[in-house]
Amino acid sequence: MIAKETPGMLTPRMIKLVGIFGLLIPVLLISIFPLIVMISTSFKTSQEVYIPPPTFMPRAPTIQNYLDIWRVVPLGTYFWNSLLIGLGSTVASLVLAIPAAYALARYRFVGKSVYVLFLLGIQMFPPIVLILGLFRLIASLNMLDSLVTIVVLNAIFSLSFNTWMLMGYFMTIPPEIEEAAMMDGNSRVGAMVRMVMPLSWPGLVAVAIFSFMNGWNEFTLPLTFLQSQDKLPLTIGLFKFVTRFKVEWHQLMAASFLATLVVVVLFMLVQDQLTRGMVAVSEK
Amino acid sequence: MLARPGFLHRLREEWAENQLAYWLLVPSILGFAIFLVFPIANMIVTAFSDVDIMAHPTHFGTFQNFIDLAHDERMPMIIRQTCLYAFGTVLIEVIIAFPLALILNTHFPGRSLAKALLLIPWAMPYAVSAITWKWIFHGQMGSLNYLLSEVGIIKDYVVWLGNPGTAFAAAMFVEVWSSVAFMAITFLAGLQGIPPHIYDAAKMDGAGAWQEFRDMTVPQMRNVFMIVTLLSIIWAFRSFAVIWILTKGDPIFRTDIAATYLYKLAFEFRHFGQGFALSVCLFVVLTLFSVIYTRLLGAQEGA
Repeated sequence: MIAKETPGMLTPRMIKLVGIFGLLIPVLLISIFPLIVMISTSFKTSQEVYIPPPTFMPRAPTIQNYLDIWRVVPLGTYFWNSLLIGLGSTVASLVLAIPAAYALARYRFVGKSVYVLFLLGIQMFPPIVLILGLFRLIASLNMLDSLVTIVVLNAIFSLSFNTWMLMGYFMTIPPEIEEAAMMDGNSRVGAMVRMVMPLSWPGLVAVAIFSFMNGWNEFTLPLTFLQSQDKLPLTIGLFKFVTRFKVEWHQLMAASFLATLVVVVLFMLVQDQLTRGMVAVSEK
Repeated sequence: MLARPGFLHRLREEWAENQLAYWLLVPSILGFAIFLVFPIANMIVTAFSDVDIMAHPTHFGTFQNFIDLAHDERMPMIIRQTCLYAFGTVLIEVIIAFPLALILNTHFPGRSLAKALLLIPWAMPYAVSAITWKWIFHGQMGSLNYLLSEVGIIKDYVVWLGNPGTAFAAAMFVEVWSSVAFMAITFLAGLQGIPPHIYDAAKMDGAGAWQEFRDMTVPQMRNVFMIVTLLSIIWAFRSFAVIWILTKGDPIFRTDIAATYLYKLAFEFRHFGQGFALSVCLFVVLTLFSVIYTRLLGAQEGA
């Protein structure tokens, strides 16, 4: 109140900014704190990590951990498997979601509202709730310990979100575009592939990256269905590393940072679209 | 009953008109049927059957699994912890996310950077976040103890994940940490969706900032608020990876919630029957939430 009358020094706008940053900066620091700890630990030597007192920033930074982790754990294999799962889930999910989203965006058919409600409803059921039912199914199909299983299940679990998001995209494209293409002798499917797909590439990219991140980050499914060391993705590989008797935290943090880097970079690329899509789906 | 005159005709018309739509839906419907609907049905049937040690149902038509589950002396604790975890984390998330959204809805330098940094926890792989927090909470070498003792808040190092109370708080904290950004961003979208002319009218009436907030912002946000809160409760109920990595339910089941306990029942204790029973219970609870959620969405759309 007094400050308001002091000319020049403390304007109401400045007070507001101080208030904003005073609240925001602690939250932001906590948000990125694990990332800072991860990076800092990954450049420490094993002595610095294990001999007290602990340090916050590395005293003698070294990149040794980034060279060693590839030998200590089959990190290359983990990366490769995560990549296969991520890409496989993306392709499988898109193959299923694109036609469904197109049908929902363009047609008014009997049972459409039921299907839409179903899509909304199943978003609530993540792998963990169904894991025992899935376990019985996968075991009886003889699909245990196979990357294909993880790819298929990931695709199914991200299908509802992907269909929603693509449906929204397709609806923004005027139907006249396909009608014109069909006048030129294209079939309906041809018009869709040639005209609608290219126009909705921002949506397709966002959905593809979302599916990839889902696959890359998935924990419960590979934990349950994969056994062989050479099939494990990063999430499970790193988890196995942390359950060992003596955890080499400096190496683990180096590997964790590499695993994070991939998704965080991808995420930043499509951040706006993805959050808008997530928000739209949750609020519809 | 359905064979009213013209029904077949209309059916044929519908098919002729929308044939392509049905064909386009076949792959996704098949996928859902095989890998979602069938496992759910299977899970329910198995929960009401005698189950052998290989998770095969041997004889259908019994409530024994549910009775065994009810007699499990840990169940009251698990239920209490599940509710505390789900409702507690969401309550804290709302308390943090709403002011955060209000802040992000104003103009200040560095706003988009702040938004991007805020979303990092949400983008990080759950497993990696949990592993990193486990390291931060580490009793001897963790950064949390180090920072707190440097600042002088604690004298002796705390074994955060070793005591029931602090371990549970830590698990809740990590859940909040990773989900709060999404909630804030959703609130922000809601705030930005409020038509600005509403505020103009209030300003003309000479309403103060607080009045404006109470009479304009809060009512406009009510639906978004309820939907997002419900969605977050559902997400917290099914949270698995965070606890499994951070504490695995330790010490002595004091950080277990339904999701982690059903996994233990099945894959560690090999009590598959009880595991199936608990899965079905969780499924029913989530279905109820899900119905309320879709109702709310419907109401929102109708409004």
